[in-house]
Amino acid sequence: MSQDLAAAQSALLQVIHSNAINLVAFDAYSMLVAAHFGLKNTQFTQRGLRAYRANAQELAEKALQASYPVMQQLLGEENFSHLAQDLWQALPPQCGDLAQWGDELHAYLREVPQLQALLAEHAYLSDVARVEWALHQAAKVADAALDTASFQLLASTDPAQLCLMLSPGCALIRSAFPVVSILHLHDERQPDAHELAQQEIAAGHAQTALIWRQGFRPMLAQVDVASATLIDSALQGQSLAAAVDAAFAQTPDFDFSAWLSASVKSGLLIAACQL
Amino acid sequence: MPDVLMPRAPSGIGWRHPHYAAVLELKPRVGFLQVHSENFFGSGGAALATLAQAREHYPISLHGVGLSLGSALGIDDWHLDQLTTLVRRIEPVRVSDHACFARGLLNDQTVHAADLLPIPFTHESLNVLCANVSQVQERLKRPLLVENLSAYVSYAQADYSDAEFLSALMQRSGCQLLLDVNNVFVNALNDQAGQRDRPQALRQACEFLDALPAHAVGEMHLAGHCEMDDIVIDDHGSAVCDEVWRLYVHAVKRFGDAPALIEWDTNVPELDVLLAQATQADAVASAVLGKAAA
Repeated sequence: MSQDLAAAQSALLQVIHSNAINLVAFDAYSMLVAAHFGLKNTQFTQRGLRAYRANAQELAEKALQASYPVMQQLLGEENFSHLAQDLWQALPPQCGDLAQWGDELHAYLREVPQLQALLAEHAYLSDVARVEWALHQAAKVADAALDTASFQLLASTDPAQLCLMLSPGCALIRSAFPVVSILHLHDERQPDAHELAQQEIAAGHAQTALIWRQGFRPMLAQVDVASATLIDSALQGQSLAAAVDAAFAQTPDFDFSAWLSASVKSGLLIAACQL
Repeated sequence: MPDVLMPRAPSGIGWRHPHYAAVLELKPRVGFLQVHSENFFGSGGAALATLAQAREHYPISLHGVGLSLGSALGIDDWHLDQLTTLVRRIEPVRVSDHACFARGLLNDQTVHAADLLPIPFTHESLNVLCANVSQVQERLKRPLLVENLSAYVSYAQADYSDAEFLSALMQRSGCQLLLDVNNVFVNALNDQAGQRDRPQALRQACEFLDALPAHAVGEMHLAGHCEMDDIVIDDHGSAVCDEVWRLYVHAVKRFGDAPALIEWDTNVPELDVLLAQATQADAVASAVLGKAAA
C-alpha cells in the first residue's frame, strides 16, 4: 500500500465525512486538513469540498429511502433525512454498492441514545426496519424456478426423507407489534388491504412477518404460529416429517393440506426434494 | 475500401429505471445501452432479468461508479467478484469505470464514499491506478475503459498534467480512455477564477483533447451540467450544452468515431428527448466524418 497516498485519501474522506454542524465550521476544518494533505488551498477548494459533502448527504437519503420506503413515510421526509445523515456518519458504507448500505438501521435505532425517545413512542419502528431490509434483500437473491413435478414426491416418498424448498429470499421475522399490518397500510400497491390493516393495528397484536418472492416480486404476509414453525423447520433443512410434527405440536388442528395448496399458489413453496 | 464508406453505429443512451419498460417495448434504434454496473450486482431478481432481456436486443456497456480504481487500498475483492459475475452473465460490449478513488480508511475502518473523488497526478498515484486497472483487466480478461473525471478540488503537487497522467495510464496498463466530453468542459469552467469565460473554457478544453494520443479513446460521453454562481456541477441532469457539442466536434475530428453515449442520470427526461440527443450526436459525428449512420 502506498502510505502517503493512503493518508491523503483518508484525509479527504475525513473532510467530506466531517460532521461539522455549519458551513463556516466545515470550511475552517476542511481547509486546515486539506492544506495539510496537499489540496490546493483556494476558495474554490472550499466550495468543492462542500459540493462533495452535499452529494454524500443527498446520496445517504436516496439510498436509505430506496431500502426503507415505509420508514420514510412513518418518520416523515425531514426526520428520515436526519436519520439517514446520522446513520451515514455512524456507519458509513463499506462497499461500492449502495444497495448494501443500511442493513444495521434496526439495531442503530435501538442502540443510539438520542433515538430512544422516538423509539419509546414508536417501539415498532425497529421491527418495521427489519422487515423492510428483508424485503430489500429478497429482491436481489438468486432466482429459483417452480418445480411442479417435484410435488409428486409428496405422494410417493416417506416424509422423513423429503424436505421443502421455499422461494428465494424467504425469511421470518417475529415481532411484538402488528408489523405486517403497518407495512400493508403503507403499501400503495394494495389499497384493498388498508381497511383490514387499520383494524389489526388498532388491535395491536403481535405478528410474525413472512417474506418471500413471488416470481421477482418480494411479498409480505403475516403467518400463524404453526405455519411459522413449519417454515422455520424447512428453512433449517429439516425433513418434511419433522417440520409438520413441529407445526402440529404448536397447533394440533393445523391443516397441512390447506397450507401446502396455499403455499404453492403464492409461490412460497417451489419444490419438494429428497434428503 | 476507403474508411468514409463504412457506416457508423448509432450512439447509445444511458438506460435508467424510468425507461426500462419503454425501451424493451419500443426497442428504439440506438447503438447500445449503458447501465451502472452496481445497479445489477446480486445473484438474481427483476433488475438483472430486465438487463438480460435488453441484452437480447442491444449491446450493453457496463459503466461502473464504485471500483475506486485510484484507491491506495487497492481493489475491493467483493466488488470485483460481483463485476466479474455480471460481465460473464451479460457479455458487455465495453466495461468502464473512473480515474478516481472512493475507498479509504476512516477512523481505521475501510469505507466507501460512494463518490468519484479526484486523485493527484503524481508518480505514486499513477502506480496505484495502473496496478488496480491491471488487476481488474486480468480478472475480467478484457481491457477496461477508464473515464476522465470532473473534479471539484485539485492537488497542489503534480508530476504530470491531467492529459499526461491519462496518457501514461493508457500506455502502461493497456486500458482505453472513456472520454467524458462534458467533464472536460466542466473542469475548464471550474478552473476559471473570477468571471466565467465560456469561449476561453472551450479553448482550454480543446487543448486538453489535443494533448491526448489520437488513438486513445474507446467511448465518449455527452451530458449536461449545472452551472451555479460559484461552481459548475457535473450532474447529468440536462441537455448537452452548445459548447459541449462543439467540443464533441473537436473530439470526433481528433479521435474518430468512437461510440458516443448520451448520459442523463438525474431529472431523467422523456425517452424521446434522450433519443433526440442521441440522434443529434449521430448527426454531429456523421457531419464531421462524412459518414451516414448505419
